[in-house]
Amino acid sequence: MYAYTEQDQRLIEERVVQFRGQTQRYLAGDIPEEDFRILRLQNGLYIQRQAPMLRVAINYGLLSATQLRALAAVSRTYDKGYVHFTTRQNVQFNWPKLEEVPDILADLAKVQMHAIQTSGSCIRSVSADHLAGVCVGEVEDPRPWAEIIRQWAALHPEFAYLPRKFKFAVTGSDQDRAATQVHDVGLHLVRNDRGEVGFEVLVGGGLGRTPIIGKVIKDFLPQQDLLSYLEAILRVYNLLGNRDNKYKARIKILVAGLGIDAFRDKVEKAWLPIKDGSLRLDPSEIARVKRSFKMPVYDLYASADRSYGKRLKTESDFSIWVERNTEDHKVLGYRAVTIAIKDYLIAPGDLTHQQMDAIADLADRYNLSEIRTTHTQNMIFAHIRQADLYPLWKALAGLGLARPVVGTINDLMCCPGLDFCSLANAETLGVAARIQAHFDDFDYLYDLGDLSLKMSGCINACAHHHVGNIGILGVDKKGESYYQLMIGGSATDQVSLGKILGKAIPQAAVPDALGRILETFVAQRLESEPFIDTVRRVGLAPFKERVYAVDH
Amino acid sequence: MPLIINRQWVQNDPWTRVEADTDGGLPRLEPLSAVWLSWTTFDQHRAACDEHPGPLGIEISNDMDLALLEPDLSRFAMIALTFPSVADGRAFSLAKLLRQLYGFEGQLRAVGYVTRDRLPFMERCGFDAMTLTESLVSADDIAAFSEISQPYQQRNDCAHKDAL
Repeated sequence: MYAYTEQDQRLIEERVVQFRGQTQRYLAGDIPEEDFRILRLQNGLYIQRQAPMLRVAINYGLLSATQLRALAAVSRTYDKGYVHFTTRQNVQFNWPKLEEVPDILADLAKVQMHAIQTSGSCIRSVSADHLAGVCVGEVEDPRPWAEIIRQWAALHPEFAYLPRKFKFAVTGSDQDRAATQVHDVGLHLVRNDRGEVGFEVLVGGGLGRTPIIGKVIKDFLPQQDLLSYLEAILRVYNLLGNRDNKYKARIKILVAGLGIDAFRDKVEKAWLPIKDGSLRLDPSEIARVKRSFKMPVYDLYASADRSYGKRLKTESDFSIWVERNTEDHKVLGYRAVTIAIKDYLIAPGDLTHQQMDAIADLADRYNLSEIRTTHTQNMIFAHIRQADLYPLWKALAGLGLARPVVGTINDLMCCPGLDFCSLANAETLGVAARIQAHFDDFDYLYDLGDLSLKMSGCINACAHHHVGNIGILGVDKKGESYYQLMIGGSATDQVSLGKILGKAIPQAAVPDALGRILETFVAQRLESEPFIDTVRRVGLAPFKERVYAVDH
Repeated sequence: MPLIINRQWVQNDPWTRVEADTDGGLPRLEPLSAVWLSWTTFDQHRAACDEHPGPLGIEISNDMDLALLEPDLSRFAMIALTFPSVADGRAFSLAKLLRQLYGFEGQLRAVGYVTRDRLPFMERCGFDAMTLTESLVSADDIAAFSEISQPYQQRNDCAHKDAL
């Protein structure tokens, strides 16, 4: 965890006092509605259909057990006892009272949490690879860099009123688990010919109404130049981005309009005069932040344990869970465990306060008191000794958090939809439940191999439906929720955008249509080919034909 | 209009705004007064402005290329940048550029829709003067400057000397 300095702590506490003042002046009628809208959004507060919604930052998805308990306590004290983990590794409270939000933020500041820039047209919270620091073959841990960017971006005086929101994702692995290619700026830690570590910088990716894959603006950016270069990108965007039409205001539209080469020239021109100025990163500052992310002390004899191998042979449910819900770790004898927040018929990403407290206890017991959130709305215990996998599995199963569905269509990513979000056009949670109920034969799902399903309730694409192997977009048809299906998207290193299969269908027809897509896949598949490869090979036609065929 | 200069309320604005007449002519400039005018008016009346012995100020639009201003920059003792709405933040970048890249040391004045909650960001980007929107002003607005005592970007800010 990043260890807060006095300055870090003072800043979030002063931000709470500042927001409390803003809230009081608004309630007293001294701040116009539209002005307060911008101020509250910069602090994560939406006014939603049912109640306000408060989004709290989980920077690069990293939480301590203490922080998770604090989230549980807030949901008990101020809300309805459950929270929603989002597709950007953050957390949302769905029913806070406007006048109590400053108190919630004050409680969270005590455990180094805040809601700074979790919404609004500003630099949003930075996301990172959820297996940072533990995955095999990583160039470098991206989290210190995400933290350096967080600090540079927090209350940045120049970039608080951008044309539109601005999102960063950082990864140090060539397996892209942070969707870096569909972010406003994606950063890949890379090594150059001389063995130096720097960044490949992508710009102008994004989903929403106009999905675009990010383009490389810089092959290799030396690490000390990170902030000056980002400042240059943001400055060009702040001055030239479209401010008249919010659907044309993201940086992707500016980059696409100018072309990447012309955009790069403008950034270089803005960058050169500031490159060697006060934004140049001092090696001692980089080292200071990195010290907070040191590799933990692992048990050198973890792999000597025999119980794990035995359990794998004798307990098939356990071994299926290990196969589906855990991943390799760079240290022998350890695995990274995905806690699936995809319980049967429960909204994806939703946890109760009891579950959060229990997860915090398990983190203390088995995982060095650390919890990570993923953009696929699950959690990760990244440091589990193999001997602890079995008792952890038992404990998670008792909490409804061990469904062995990771990487199947039951592990779907899903925004809150019409039930909670004021932007949504269509319901999503009911569809998610229908899908889970329809596809309850796990053996069938496992045979299908890895398959990502992502569903958004409007074109803002919070659940990244364009990059789901199967994507579902909810649309409104005369007051009724309809669903557009797309296939062929991928958010991995070989990123691609899905293509729409045909006309939108009613909610009740979604599970059957999905079934037909899967049947077509099975019929077309070569051996154990992954779904995405089959779609890329055979194209849309056979899927389209089967889904829209009239049965006789 | 309520005016803050260097974190102080200022009762009498020393600067007089001059507009071109409806027929495009420029009124006589009081010889010793500090006058400011739009870039367009200045550009159309360069001769008259050249003859003005007092301080000269300019207001530029948010889409102006600062390179166009550069040759004349040393003639201006004040530059006004505008905030057309509560959502528009282009003037923050222009201020920063004028201070840090063009080395402008005169008064940088925020005009347009200027309210309390953006004052600290304005100051940190290099504004030392702000003309506030009258209907929303409160004597307490000065307190906004010290709400966040030690921002992360301090080394790169153009902050007021009291803030350091």
